[in-house]
Amino acid sequence: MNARRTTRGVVALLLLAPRAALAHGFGQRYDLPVPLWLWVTAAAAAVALSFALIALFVTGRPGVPGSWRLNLLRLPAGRRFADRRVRLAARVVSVALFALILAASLLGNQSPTRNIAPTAIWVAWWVGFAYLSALVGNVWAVVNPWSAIFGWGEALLGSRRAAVRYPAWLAAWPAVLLFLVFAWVELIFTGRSIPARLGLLITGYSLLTWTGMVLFGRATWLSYGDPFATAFGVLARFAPTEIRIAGQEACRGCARPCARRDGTCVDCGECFDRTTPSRREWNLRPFAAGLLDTGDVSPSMVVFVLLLLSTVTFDGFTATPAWSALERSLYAALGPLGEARLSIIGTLGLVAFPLGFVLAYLGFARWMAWVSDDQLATGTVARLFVLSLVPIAIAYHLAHYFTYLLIQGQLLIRLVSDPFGFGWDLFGTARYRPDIGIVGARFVWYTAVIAIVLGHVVAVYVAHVVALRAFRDRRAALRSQLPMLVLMVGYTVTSLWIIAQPIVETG
Amino acid sequence: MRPCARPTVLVVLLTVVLFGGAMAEPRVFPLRLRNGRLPEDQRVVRVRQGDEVTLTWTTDRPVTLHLHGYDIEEKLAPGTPIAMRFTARATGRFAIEIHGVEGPEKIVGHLEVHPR
Repeated sequence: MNARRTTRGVVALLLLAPRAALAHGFGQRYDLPVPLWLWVTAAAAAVALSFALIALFVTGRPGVPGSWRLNLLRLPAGRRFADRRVRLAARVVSVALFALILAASLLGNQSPTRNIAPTAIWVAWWVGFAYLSALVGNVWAVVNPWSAIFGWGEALLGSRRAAVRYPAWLAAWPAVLLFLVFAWVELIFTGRSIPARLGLLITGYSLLTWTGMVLFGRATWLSYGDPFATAFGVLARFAPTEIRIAGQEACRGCARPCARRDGTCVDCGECFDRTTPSRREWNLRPFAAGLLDTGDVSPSMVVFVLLLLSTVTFDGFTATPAWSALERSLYAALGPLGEARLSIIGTLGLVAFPLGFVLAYLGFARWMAWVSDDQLATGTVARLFVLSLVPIAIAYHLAHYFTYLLIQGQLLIRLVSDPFGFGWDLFGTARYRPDIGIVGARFVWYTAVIAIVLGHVVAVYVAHVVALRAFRDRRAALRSQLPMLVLMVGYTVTSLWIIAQPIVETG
Repeated sequence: MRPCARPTVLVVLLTVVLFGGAMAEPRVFPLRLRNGRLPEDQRVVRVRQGDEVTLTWTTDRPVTLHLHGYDIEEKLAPGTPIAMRFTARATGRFAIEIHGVEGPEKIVGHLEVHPR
């Protein structure tokens, strides 16, 4: 390609990017649909492996993964890495990046691809931290800049007791509501890729978060009101790392119901900070082990988890020809509503999808309770098994965003040199152009399909272990898993179906 | 020279080594825009990785076309066929977007580059 044409192309891309924006946050996707034969093979493999797992559980009692742990704080390298100074440095970097992104969004060039804010927020932060949370651990809990700034404020001004006692009936409902608002901004709001709009949203979210922290206390707000701490926390239950303290003295007065029956407290940063260092553990654990802890799942958390899963599925679904056709027919039917039609249709879909998920899940929970002779109430069953769906969601998420992260993420190489879009070249990378051939379609297909099938297997396994623990007799436990299996196969096949659809872009 | 040139060359070389069994083919697609739209059977252009692709465009009104990903833009005018030539080195599904026509349909078609 000659240089002049390249330059013209780049300029065109920059000018046109906002109009070419897709369903999710921002940016473009170039995924080739998974071929039919691979889709059929993967779906068949998911079903076959499910039955192999059932056979395993019916004939014996496979080992429970949650029991293996390796305390990294016993290793010198682990201790150094978990040192307070390292955590402080990570928070300082995180707050500096937060300030940079906020400043760039409000003061910088308003083209979505020349300003660092849209790429940093939608690609690096939202997609990147979901990957980190699920595959590494709850990094967000350590580096959350809003939490860090509030903590520094408390250190300077002296920490005060929470102004208001958090009403127990509110549970995690504020986080549910705020996550729905966030999903709307990510998937429907047309200003989602415009830096200044993002800047205003960040400002609003900051005020809301700090108000919540002042009113109810930092830990309480992060546990019940903050959608991101909650979302990354759910995903991090799948991760191979945890923090744990032996003994529960530190848990008195903790905002969360973190104390467990075995006398420990897991993944509660508040208690971890409060306890003596000798009681602290930073453990490696098997993937998905954290999903077996269902003690603290409230009805609002059930809805939150289903909302998280359904919005990711909705994001994939809105790029399929099926949605496109539905959108077109509704668009024609809703003529009198004018310009706002597309947003209205999207909003209806965004509300209908989670509602459908919740109703379907409750239906399956009722079925599970029924086939196991109503030993447990439907609500209890719903709370016990909702986390076992998380591995399928994570696998689908990995598959869905893989090329997006690899290709759109490359924009950051250019943007770090010119975060405001003022024409700077701080690190000499301002002219970098994303390499669209960084991974081939075949590699992406196999990665996606293997991830989804593996996620399915882990999900079936987790649900079986939870059932064997929860039900009084073994037969009832195994019987309860038939409906669960139907639900999981349905969810997995739907996820596979979406990645087998050609992506439709609307201009 | 852009900074990514060397890795790109490497990727291309690797691709040639790995998938060299089937030689790249020249592929020419005549595409006729009418009223800013392509006929139904021309909306998806399918090629294989490594193909030398030529999209020959004609139009009945002035428009600007943009092939995403490969990032090629051309201005089209009635009566003058314009060719977009490139090697399909990266797999994927790339939108072809149109500018300069009224209406919500901005994506006139897709280029699909399948692996060998």
